[in-house]
Amino acid sequence: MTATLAESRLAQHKTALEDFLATAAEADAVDLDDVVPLTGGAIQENWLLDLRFHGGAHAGRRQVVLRTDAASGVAVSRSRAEEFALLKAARAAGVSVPEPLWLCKDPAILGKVFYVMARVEGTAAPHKLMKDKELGGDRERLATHLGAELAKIHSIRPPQAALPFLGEVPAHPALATVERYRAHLDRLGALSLPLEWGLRWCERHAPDCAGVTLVHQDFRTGNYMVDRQGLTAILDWEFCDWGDPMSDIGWFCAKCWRYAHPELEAGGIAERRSFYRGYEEAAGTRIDPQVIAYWEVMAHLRWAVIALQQGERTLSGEQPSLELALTGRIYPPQLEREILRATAPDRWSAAR
Amino acid sequence: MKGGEANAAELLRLVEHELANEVLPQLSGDLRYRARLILNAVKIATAELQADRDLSTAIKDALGPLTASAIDAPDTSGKGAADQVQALQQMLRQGELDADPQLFEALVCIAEARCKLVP
Repeated sequence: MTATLAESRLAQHKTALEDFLATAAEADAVDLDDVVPLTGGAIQENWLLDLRFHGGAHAGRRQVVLRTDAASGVAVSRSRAEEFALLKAARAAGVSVPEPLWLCKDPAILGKVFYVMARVEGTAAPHKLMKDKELGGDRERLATHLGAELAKIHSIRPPQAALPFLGEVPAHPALATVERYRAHLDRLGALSLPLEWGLRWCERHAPDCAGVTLVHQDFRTGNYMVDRQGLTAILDWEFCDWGDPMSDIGWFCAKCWRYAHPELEAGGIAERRSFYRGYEEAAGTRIDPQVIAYWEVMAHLRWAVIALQQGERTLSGEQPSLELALTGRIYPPQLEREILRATAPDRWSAAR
Repeated sequence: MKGGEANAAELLRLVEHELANEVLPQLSGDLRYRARLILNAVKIATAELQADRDLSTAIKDALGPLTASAIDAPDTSGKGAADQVQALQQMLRQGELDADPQLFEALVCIAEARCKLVP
């Protein structure tokens, strides 16, 4: 056992994990040689496992990623079992995702549900993408590829027997979203007039949805992996739901997710038209820029609400964290300013 | 003359200086990231201590006339600022302030003032 493995939280579960993997992979035995913690955000833990499979279809050395809940998981995201089902559905639709391998619902193995997926090479770190122009290959091509990937996600339409947890299909996604964010603000006890102004604008200008699809809900720079050649995987499926596909496009293009390159309107990496072209060609539909502008306002509202929720997680004593407190403190004012810029009085249509 | 005793705002300013110039350059990796978080928190706290009264006044000035007219009477009821904001929130939700230019200007002023407090 390596020092990293011995010191990791997985050490005490080594034998049980090896037995589970051997059974799941139909191998004679599996040796867990090493583990490395990977960054996984505040909600999940990700571990890179060095495995040796003896016998079976996976025989030999293999690196996989184990994903499970962090100690302080929040209820808003999908469970790991649901995420596993989403990964399978996405892979079946042709989306570039890490191959989902095995799900373990037995708490006796690790003490919590986890799943194992193939390792994908690359990085998702936005600051690296912003700094290193060679990363991700040709950026316009990367944006076109991302547009096509998003269209594949949106090809998954209700009903889906394998995704029963996604629940009711919203009759009017935009209005349902406004209602949900108001409820979130009320639960937080947050009194923000700029956010209320933005929500009312979104209520008044809500576009009709051409057809509800699976929506990723966090499709942005930072949640896809690239290597030197281009895209390697779409990550972070924990917020998927049924919704208006245009909301994902608005989220990807929103100014708040362009990082150091606000002039590059497709996620801070490329021109918007490259992303749109990839999406339109794969989806066989035209994107209405006015509808995307609407969903970009909603994106800023959503991020502001999430930032306040993250701040509340620490202020409520649930999870002491300066990082969470700063998220709730730093982002909302900037987002409020963006929302107001996009919803000035001359951008309100006449009363209906 | 301050009698040699630093107040809270002055202490925070010195912490900010020490962190930025003496501590941060010595750090790398995760520790550097965490030190930057601390520095940002100190900057916000310093700015807020200095501007808190200004911001409260700005909000009151910006929203005061609106809340007075919105609730159809000046604030003589002893209602706090939060109650007045809540009244405006309800009016916004009910569509009574749609595209209201006066409210919009007030919100922009407040948003700008709030943005000045964050790094």
